[in-house]
Amino acid sequence: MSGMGRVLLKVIILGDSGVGKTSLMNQYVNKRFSNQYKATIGADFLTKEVMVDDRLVTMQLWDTAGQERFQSLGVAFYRGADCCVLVYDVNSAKSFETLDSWRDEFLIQASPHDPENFPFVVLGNKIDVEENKRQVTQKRAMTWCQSKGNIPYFETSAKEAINVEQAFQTVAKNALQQEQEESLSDIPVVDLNPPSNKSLSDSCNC
Amino acid sequence: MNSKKARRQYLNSIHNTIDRDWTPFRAVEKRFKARFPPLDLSDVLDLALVDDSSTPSSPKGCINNLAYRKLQSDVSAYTLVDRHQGLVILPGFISPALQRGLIKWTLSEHARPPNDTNLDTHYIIPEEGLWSLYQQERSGKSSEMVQPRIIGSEDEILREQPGPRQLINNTPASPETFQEISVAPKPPVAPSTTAQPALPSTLVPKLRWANIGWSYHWGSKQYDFAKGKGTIDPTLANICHRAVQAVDWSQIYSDDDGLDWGENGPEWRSWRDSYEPDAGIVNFYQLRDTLMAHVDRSEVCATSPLVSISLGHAAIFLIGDSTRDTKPDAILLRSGDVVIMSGPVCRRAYHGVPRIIEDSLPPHLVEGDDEWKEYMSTTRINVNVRQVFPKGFRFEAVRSSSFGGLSTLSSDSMVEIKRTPEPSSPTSVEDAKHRLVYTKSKVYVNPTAYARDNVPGFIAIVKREAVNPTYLLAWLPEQLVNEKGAAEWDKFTKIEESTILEEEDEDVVFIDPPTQRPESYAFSVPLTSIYSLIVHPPTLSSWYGSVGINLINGDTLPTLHFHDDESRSFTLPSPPAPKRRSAVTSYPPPPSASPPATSPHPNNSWGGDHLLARLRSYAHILRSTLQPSLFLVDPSRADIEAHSTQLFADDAVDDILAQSSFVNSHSPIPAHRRPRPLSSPGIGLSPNPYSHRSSVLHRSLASPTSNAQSSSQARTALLQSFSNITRATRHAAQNILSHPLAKPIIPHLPDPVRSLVNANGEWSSWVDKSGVGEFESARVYLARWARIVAEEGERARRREAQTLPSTSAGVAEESSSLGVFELLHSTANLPTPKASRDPQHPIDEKTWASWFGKDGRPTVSFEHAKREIFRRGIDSSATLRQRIWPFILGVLDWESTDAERTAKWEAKRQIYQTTKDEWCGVPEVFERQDIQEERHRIDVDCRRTDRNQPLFATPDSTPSHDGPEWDEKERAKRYSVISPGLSDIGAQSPTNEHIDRLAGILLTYNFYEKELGYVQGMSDMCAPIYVVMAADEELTFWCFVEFMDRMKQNFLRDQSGMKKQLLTLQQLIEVMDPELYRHLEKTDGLNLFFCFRWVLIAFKREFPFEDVLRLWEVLWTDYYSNGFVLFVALAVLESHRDVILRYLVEFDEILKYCNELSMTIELDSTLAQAEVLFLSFSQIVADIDRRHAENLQAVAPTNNLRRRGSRGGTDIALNIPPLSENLRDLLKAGRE
Repeated sequence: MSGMGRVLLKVIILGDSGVGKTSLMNQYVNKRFSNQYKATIGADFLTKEVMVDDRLVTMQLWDTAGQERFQSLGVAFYRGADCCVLVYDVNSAKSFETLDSWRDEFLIQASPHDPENFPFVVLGNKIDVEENKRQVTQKRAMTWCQSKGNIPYFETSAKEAINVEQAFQTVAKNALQQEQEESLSDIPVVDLNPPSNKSLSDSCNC
Repeated sequence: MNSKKARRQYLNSIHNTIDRDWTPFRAVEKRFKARFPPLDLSDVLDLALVDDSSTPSSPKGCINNLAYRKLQSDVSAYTLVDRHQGLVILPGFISPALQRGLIKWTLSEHARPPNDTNLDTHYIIPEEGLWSLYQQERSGKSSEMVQPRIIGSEDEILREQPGPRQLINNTPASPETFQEISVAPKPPVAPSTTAQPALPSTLVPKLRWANIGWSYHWGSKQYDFAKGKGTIDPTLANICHRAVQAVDWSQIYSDDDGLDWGENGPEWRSWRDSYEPDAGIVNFYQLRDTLMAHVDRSEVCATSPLVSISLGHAAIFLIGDSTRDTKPDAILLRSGDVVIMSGPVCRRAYHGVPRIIEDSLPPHLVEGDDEWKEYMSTTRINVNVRQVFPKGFRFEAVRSSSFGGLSTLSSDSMVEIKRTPEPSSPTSVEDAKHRLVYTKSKVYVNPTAYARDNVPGFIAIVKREAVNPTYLLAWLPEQLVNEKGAAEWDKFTKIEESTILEEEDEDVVFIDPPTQRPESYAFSVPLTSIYSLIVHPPTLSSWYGSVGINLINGDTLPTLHFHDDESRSFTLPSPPAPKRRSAVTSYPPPPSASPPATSPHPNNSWGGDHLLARLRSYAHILRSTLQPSLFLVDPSRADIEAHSTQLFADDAVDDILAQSSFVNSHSPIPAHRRPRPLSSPGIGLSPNPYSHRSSVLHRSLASPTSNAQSSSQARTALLQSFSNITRATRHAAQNILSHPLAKPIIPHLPDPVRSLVNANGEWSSWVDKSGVGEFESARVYLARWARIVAEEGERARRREAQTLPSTSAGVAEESSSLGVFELLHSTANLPTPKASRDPQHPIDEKTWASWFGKDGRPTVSFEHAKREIFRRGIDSSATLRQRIWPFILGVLDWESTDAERTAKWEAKRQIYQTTKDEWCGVPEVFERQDIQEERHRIDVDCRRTDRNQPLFATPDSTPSHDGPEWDEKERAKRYSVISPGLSDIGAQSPTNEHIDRLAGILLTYNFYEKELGYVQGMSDMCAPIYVVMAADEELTFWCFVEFMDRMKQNFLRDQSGMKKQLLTLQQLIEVMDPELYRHLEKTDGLNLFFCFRWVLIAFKREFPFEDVLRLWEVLWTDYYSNGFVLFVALAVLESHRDVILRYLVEFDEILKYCNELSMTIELDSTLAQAEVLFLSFSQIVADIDRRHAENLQAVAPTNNLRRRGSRGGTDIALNIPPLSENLRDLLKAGRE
């Protein structure tokens, strides 16, 4: 309740085309699943209000085209992100193997202040498909996540609404933390620009 | 910080109504800060222009915007007449040589240990200082890195914990508050944990401030006296003394000017002797830095002169008065100028620096080869020096040694203040007088859920008398007041009954200082420490209203419950009779369970309302529109922005209905308020609401009355109806805004409106899409709703028009086919273009057949055919499209016979088969890694493209795909020709034969056009062709090839094509609708990403399938322009421009809005608009060219200059915009 306005958390969802980014987002926000989603062209977002640690925050979930060719457009959308969700399809090894490049690409484009500690969350989607189709084991995924600085990992099904709520709750939590840390971390460059530090302005003179 | 917040700052300025959130000060700041339009100094006072002895370098301001007065002085000194009393400007006070010396001093001697700088928190700055290191680095002597500070284990406890940044609301310093301030903990800011070792050259531009004298604690915005006082450089002190002494202060102040100088009286008389600077800050501004409006109020000396020296680049200095609600004056400050702010008025005035002016260095800072030359080329330095303590105010700090002198938190860090005795008795916090200005009895604190535990008490507003009085909000339990005796009790009851305002001094009541007594729930907090109030008025279920108090530090005080039925101020007749004052007061008080009064307060207000009303006298109280029970106390700008959306009256709903001409039998609107039919006599033209607008679109609407007689009745009616639409839109929006958060609006809508939006299905569709329970930006929400209402209004009008008698048929025709866009034209002199489209009469079999001779050779020109297709479209009932599309796309030659075409087609078929054979049935190619990846990309997309088309919907004959007995092999054989196999593509929707053939076509295209590769969006472009070509692979392929030839640029790897397209569209908007352009500029929207999908795949996703076909064949004719799609995009934007301008102020809002236009756009009117826009555009281009030519002529020394001068409308000729190549290319039509 202290001196803060409404918090808007910007979350970017990335991953190969067809892994279920749009489905996950819609399952989380609208609680529904459809087989009829089309490939995302350009970018779109949904918003959802969510309670994090007794605080009401608004999450803005950005869904972008999955083809790498369109990533050069990403900059405009990545900027100011508070958390990045990496999605792969547990039934596609390739979609898992590209997580590395998605992560790198994001860090390059979004250039967060503290890339080492920027919050990611990894979602292995489509676990509703029969087990024998599965290509990426949980262990393999978790090992990767660990190696990247303990990225939280969830196995989800947008279709069956498995783990989706939990995953995005974590996203929200980490994003909020990031938003708050980011507010502090720009102090090294104490900037006289008004958007960044209203609190410093009351003391100096022209 | 991040772009979100920055973008929020973009809340626009001039053209939009949403700027109501800005204070006048903020608006002016914004104006100067904006990089567009170019900086305008025409109302910036530039005193250097007054002295004719000096010729100031550019830029130049003006000298006639403000009345100034030259002071009698040895130096050039000015003050403003009747404004900012105490402000003195000494232009050029610092000589060029001294400026250079000061610059050197600030950098090399001052901004280094032991003086604090902003960098010290995060970096260990060596003893010799950053500047010295920088010089060594520059000379190549050393490349030593500056090391980040590492958090020491000991320090850690003392540092501020990371957490959300809090807005600092510093208590104004005064002798009374000094002790409180000086002992408050001022933990050092936590150093960045992410800072990396850095070269001095990278850190120098990040230098922002360096302290002078008393150490300033930026976290609390108070001086940290425990850190002791640094020395003031004697040269600097000398400059300040000279500046203050150069002014004859009696020319500024007089004894009878009524200023409140505080207890020491008019101290200006003694400034010559008493002025002694003891603190200051050097600010280093880079060119884009700004300093927000602020007041310096941390100094105990609240009135003594503050001397500010400008060095380097010039700046705009704004100064207002004690609030941000006054428009500030702008003053240009150049290198060497000195500003003195002094006295009770000026020292408490808001001021700031919104702009550092580029290229404004004076010659003496550009010439020469000083070590700071490069640095100063992007810098302004401001040295400002203050007096924290009055002379004679002595101060000793007992400093702790246990933490190396750094700590201020340790328990033995104490501060003792001594004052030399003076005749006027000093006041301290203890003996300050506390005046009760407001109180209310029977305000309860409920410690438990049991009523028996409730504690009755008084809420009170108490003024602590001082030069700068402090207002306290206190709650005292009756018990506590009781203990103090009858006299004290009487004071409370007296004030409660009193209606006298505090300002009237006759009945002053002083009380004992209220104290914080947590054990009895008593509290007393300064209003400045309150962040917000949560106010719940009484309701049926909760008899007593309550007020919760949240402090800035995050604490919440006990919730107060207003038992108005017991409270004197409510039970007494209103207004209270003063004579009964003493008589009615009983002491001791009766038990709290006194019988409830029989007469409730006359109006519906309650105790909390009264408290709020009183608080408003002492603080800015803002009711949040996000959460109506939340009231913010002295909110920050950010909070104001977040919490205020202007409220409008609820009766706006009536207005919408009245204006949108939606009438039906169950309308709740009184008959006299219902709209009259357009044709009804006596309807006058209302004043044109667009006369102030600048857009091409609206210019034509200006004052149509002049030729109203001659123009058709229809035109008049149309204008009228147009103004109605937009007015309806506006009111719709206002109505939505009147409901907090916009979310709960649906139940509030009157039935007619609800049925209205439900009737056409749009309401439910978008509610469905976005999830009704979820937060949407209120602006997006209302923008959408405004659109729906406007559209419904438009439809209703058409229905109405159609039912008009036949004599008015012209009206119906005109308005139904084109809407308002018919009225568009570029400038007053140009004729209004008309759309030529006639989609009601598409080309049918008969027409088509009539175009061909016996041998199949066309009898009409290709040009004619294309025009007809552009105008009318193609009848969709038969297989006509299948036959016509190959012609317009260029697969088949127009000028040829059947036989010739058959031969050529055979060749093309061959090419297709050959190309397909490159992969089909060639495992070594098909299974190659890169091809596999390509197959994967294609397959994944084809499986989710147009699955609602019968061809692509999975046929019933397909066995259930999720059955356990599903034969993998069989499936692979039948459906996985392209699919790289389930293992690689992951789980996807099932495919079918047609999907697979579609994928095959796309893969073959990959081999035909080798550079491009498959790119998302191509499946969207190919699928409709496949459907129209009735699953004919070869025809589909070649049509797709031709389509791609037009679209290829969109899919280039580096996105250069899309960038070019969007840039062209941007330039088009700039020419056709400058207002929209400026709005997009302000909202960070000029990248036009919200048009990305439209342009990339030619609106495939924006229209229903059938409309896409109709749109594409129009585009393919290239009839007007090869880039006609951009005019379609412009047409869509233009139809929504009012909504965008009015409501959408952030990039993401516009994106959301545009994405959700999908499937709501009406194709034919949009195409008509696009055509009119194109024709207007070409007229404008022709006009520009003509004017250019005339200008060239005028340059030649001929005698037709005068003739030109006498022509009307030369204002445009004076400023002919250059036309980009991209825009010129839009005039090209037809392909080779």
